[in-house]
Amino acid sequence: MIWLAYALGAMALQGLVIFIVKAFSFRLSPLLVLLFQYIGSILLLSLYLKHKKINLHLDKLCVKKVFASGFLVSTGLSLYYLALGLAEASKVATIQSVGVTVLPVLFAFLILKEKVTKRLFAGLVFAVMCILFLTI
Amino acid sequence: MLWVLYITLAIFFLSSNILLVKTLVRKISPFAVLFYQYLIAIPLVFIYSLMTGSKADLNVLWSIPLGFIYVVAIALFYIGLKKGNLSKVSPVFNMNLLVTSLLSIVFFAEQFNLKIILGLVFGVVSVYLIGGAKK
Repeated sequence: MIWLAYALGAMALQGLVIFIVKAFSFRLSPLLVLLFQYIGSILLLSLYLKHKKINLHLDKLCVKKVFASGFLVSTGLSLYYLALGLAEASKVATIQSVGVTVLPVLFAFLILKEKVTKRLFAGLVFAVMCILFLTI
Repeated sequence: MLWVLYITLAIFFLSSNILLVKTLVRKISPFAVLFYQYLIAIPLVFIYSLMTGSKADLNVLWSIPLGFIYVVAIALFYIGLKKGNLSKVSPVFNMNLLVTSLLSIVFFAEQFNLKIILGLVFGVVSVYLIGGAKK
């Protein structure tokens, strides 16, 4: 059950980060908060990579994928932070969490034609209810 | 309702990224993926800030320690993934919506009515059912 301790720690810290972003967004631009947050993250991560001597070598295919991933995550988070600056954090954070859980399932169902189990279907129904209650 | 458009696009971008990261971490360390993501993100977010006319003051430097907390959260998530199954770790991690919502309701006195409570409950159940499902 050690995984649970790590997952709970990650959950609490991530929730705290989004709460602090909302607090900062009352006075600061959410995009500048994200920019400096990235600077802080890369500083700490660089130290960790150096300490663990993690290999940073990329092949050609990986370079393209990493570039695309960097674009998607930074644009996605920029929009998320802008939304946090415009509406209540309790609504935005909930819809974001539900959305990033649901959309990959929808991708798998619509594009990859994967089967949807009863449990997944129930989850999708609850997700739609959640979004309706928080947005309408 | 501009925030709804922003969050919809954000969900689309972030979900697409998850699919891409899943293929990347098979070949390289997740921490290397994060490092390159941040390397690309910094100039991009700088450009977005200029495009939206964001004005900086010294208080923005407080966001740097926020970055430390953020990267520790992601590192704990990855370690959790290493020690447990994705179907168990992921739903627990995604419950961070509860932490943000509760803190916001307590400290920012955000709206807290039956509609919000039901929305949160449906959200938590949805994340649990989908995230915990065997794929």
